[in-house]
Amino acid sequence: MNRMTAGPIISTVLAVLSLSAASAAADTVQRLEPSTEPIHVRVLFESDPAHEAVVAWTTTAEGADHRVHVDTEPREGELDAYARNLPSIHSQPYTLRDDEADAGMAAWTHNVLLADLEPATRYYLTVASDGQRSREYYFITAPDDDRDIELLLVGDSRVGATRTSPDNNRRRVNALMRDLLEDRPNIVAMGHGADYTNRAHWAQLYWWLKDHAEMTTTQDGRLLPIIPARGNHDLDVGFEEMFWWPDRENDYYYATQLSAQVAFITLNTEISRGGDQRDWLEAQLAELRPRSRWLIGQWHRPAWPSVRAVSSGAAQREAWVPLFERYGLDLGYEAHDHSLKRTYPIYQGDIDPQRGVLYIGDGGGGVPQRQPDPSRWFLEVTDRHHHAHILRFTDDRLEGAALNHDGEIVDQFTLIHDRRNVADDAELVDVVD
Amino acid sequence: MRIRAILRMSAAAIALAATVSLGLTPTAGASRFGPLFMDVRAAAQETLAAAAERVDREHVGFGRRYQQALAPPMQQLQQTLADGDADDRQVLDAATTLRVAVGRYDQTQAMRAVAEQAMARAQAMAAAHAEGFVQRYQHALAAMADLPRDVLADDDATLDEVRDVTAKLEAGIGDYAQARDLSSSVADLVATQRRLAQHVGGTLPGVDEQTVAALAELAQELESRLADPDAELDAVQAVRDELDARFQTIGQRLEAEFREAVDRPSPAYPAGVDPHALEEVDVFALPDEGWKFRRDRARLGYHEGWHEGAFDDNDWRSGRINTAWASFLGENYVGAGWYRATIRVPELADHQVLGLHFDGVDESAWVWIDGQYAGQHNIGSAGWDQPFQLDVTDLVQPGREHQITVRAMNTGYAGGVWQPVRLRAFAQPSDDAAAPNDSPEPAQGAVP
Repeated sequence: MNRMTAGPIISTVLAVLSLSAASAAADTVQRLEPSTEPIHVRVLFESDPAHEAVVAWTTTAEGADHRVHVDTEPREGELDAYARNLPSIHSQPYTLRDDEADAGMAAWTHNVLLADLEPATRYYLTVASDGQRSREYYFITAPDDDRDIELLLVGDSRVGATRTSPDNNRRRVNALMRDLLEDRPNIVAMGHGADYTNRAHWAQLYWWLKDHAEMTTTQDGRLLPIIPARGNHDLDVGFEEMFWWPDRENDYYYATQLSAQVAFITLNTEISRGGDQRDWLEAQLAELRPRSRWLIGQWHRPAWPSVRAVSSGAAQREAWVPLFERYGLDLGYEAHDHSLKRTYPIYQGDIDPQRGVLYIGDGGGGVPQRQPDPSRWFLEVTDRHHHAHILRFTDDRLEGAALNHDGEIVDQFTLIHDRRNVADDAELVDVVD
Repeated sequence: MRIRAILRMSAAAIALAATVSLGLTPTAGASRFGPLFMDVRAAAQETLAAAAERVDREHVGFGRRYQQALAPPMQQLQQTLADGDADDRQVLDAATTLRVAVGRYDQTQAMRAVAEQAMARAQAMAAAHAEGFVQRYQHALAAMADLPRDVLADDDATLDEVRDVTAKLEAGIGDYAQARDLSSSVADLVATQRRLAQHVGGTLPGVDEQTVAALAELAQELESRLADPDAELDAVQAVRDELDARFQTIGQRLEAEFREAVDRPSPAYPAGVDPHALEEVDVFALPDEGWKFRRDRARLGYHEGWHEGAFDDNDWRSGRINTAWASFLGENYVGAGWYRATIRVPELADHQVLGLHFDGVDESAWVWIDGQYAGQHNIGSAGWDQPFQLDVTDLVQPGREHQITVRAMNTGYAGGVWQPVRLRAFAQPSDDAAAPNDSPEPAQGAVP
C-alpha cells in the first residue's frame, strides 16, 4: 500500500467518524419535521456542463416559493444581492410507499435549470424555499477550451440490502472525493456508474442524498456536480425524481462535453442495449470521436465482469463493444460487480495494447465488496476496496488512479495519445464470448 | 485518434513504486494526497522489478513457459529505458508488453489455484456416500477428479489447456451436485404425494382419485429411476419436474383458497394508536436458530393445520431465519415454505404496544402466534426486501413461551425469512403520555 497519504487518511477518518457520530445522534430514527428548510442541495450536469446545470434540493413541506439565487461573486446568502434569482421549474413530492407515508414521511424535490452559464466559472448560489435559505454554495462550470481537466468516477454507492441508515463505507468514499475536490479545481464532476440505493425508495434515497450533500461538499461550499447513470437498483421512479432533468431526450443515456476535447458518454444497461440506444451510441461515437482527443463512457452492468459470470456481460459485448472498438473509445467505466478491476486493453476479444479499449471500475462506492476472479484473461487488476477513481485529461495523456476510502492509491494507469485515427480503417466485428 | 499504449502498476507493486516516487519531483497532479498519477519511467522500473521477481522463482510445471516468456520483453524494456532518445510513449509501449507477459504468468498461478480447488472438491464429493443414480455421477466424477493433475505438471501447458480441463472437471462436479440435490428433493416430493393422497374424498379443489393416482404413478416412477444406477440426470429431472408441475397446478388452487381464508388488514400498530406518539422502549431479537422448516409444494399446509400451535412438527427438518433458503435447503426453492419455533419471550420494559418486526421476507409472509393469525406481508415480488411490522400486542405476553409460525412464499430466485426478526416494545414517552397524539416523533425504525 502507498503510505504517502497518512495525513489525509487520518483527517478523512476523523472527519468521517465525527460526522457519523453527529448523524447517528441526529438522524438515525427520527421522522423529519415538516419544513421548507432546504436540504440535499446538489448540482446535476447533463450534456453541456459549460453552459447548463440543474440545481436541486429537498424540503419536507411542500412550500410555495422555491428559488435559486445565483451570481458569479459570493454574496454570503444576501438574497437580494445575487444577480439572478430563478424559480423552481419542477417541484414535486417524492413518491412514497404506503409504509413510508404511514410513518409520516413526506418530501418534495425542487429543480432549477441554470442556463446560459459561462464556462469554467464559479457560480455562487443560495437556495431558498418560502424564505428559509441554505448556506451559500458554489460550483464550477466545465470549461469549453482545451485545458487539463479531471473527473471523479464512482459506482455502487448503495449500501447493503435493506439498510437505510448512514453508511460509513459510502460516507468514507464521499469524504475521499471531497478531500480531492478541496485541492483540485480542475475536477469537473463526479460520474456515477449507478446503483445509489438498494431500491429507489424515499427512505433510502434520503440517506444517499444526505451522504452526498454532507460528505462531498467542501468546507468552503463547493458542490460536486453529478453525472448519473442508471443501474439495476435504480428502476423505481424515485431515481427519476432524484435526478430530474428538463425534457430528457432519452432514457438516461446521453453525452456530456466535459471540455473542448473530452467527451463522456453515459449509457443505460437497464433497457435494450440494441435498438434506439445502440443507434444513438453509434451516431454519438461517429460525431464525437473525430473532435475529441479523449472519449470515455460509463454504464452500470459490465461488458467485462470481474465477479459475475463472464456470460453476464454478453449483451454489452454484443451491442456496444464492437462500436467502442470501431470508433476507438478510450476508456469505459463499469460497475455492478462490487470490486475493483482494470482490464487489459481489449480489442476483438483479445489483449491489444495498441488498439484495445480499457475498462475500469466494477463498483466500490459503499456496497460490500466481493471477491473478483483474477484468472480471467481480460483482467489485469482485481482487488476488493471501497474506492473511487480520478482521471486527469491532458493534451497527450489520460492518467488514472483508484484510491481506496483510506486515501491510499490502489491502482494507477496512463494512456498516451498518438493522434492516429483508427476509425478510418477499423472493422466492425462481433466479439464472441 | 487513438491511444498508443497503456501501462499499469499492480497493487503488489504499489508499495515499492510509491517509495521510488518519493524521490521524484511531484507532477502537476500532486496534492496533499501525494502524486496521484504514475511516473511512466518509475513505473516501468517497477514493472521490470516485478518481472524479475517472477523470473527468479523456482518453477516447474504449468506456468513455466509463461515464466520463460518474460525474458524477451524484459530485455526490450531494459534497452528502451537505457536509450536516452526514447520518449515516454516508447517506454510505455515496451512496459505494456512486459506487463501483459507478467499478467499472463500471474494468471497461470490463479488458474492453478482454481484447478487445484476443483480437484479437492471433486475428491471430497467422490468420497461422500451416494446411492442409486447419484452413484453414476459420483463414479464419473471420481474418474476425472485428477484430470488437471497431468497438465498442471507440464512445463509447456497453456492457459487454454488448463482452463479447458478444469472446466470439464467443474462440469462433472456440477452434474454430481445436481444429481445429489435432485435425489435429496425427491423424498420431499414423494412425501407430498402421499399427503395429498390422504385428502382424496375431501374438499380440497383438484385433489381427486384420478389426480392422486396419476401423481402416485409419477412418484413411483421417480423413485424407480432414482434407484436405477444407470438412470440419466435428464431423465430423472424430467419426471421430477413433471411431478412438481402437477403439485404447482394443485397448489395454485389451494393458494387462492388460502389467501381468501386468511386475507385481512395487517396493521403495524393497534387501531387508534398514533405511531408517532410512541417510542421504542425495548426489543427482543428472535433467535436465528431453533426453527423447524418444511417446504409446502402443493400448498397443503394451511389445510393440514401447520399454523396451529399444537401441530406436531417433529418430523420437519431444521431451518434458520436471517438467511435465505439456499443456505439450508441447498437450492433457491420456489414455492411456499413454513417455519415454526417455540420461543420464550423475555420480560420487556413497560409498554403499550408490541410489534413483530421483519426486516425482510423474500417475498411474502403470513404469521401466526400460538395458532392465532397475526397478519401478513403480501405485496407480491416487490416485497422481497421491504421491512414490515405486525401488531402482536394482544397475542404476545412477555415472560412466556409462544409458538410462532411463518409461512413464506417465494416466486423466483432466493426466498425465505432472510433478514432478522425482532419483537419491539413501544410506549408513549412519559412526558406526553396524557396526550399521545400530540407528539410528532415516530417510533418507526431507521427512516427519515
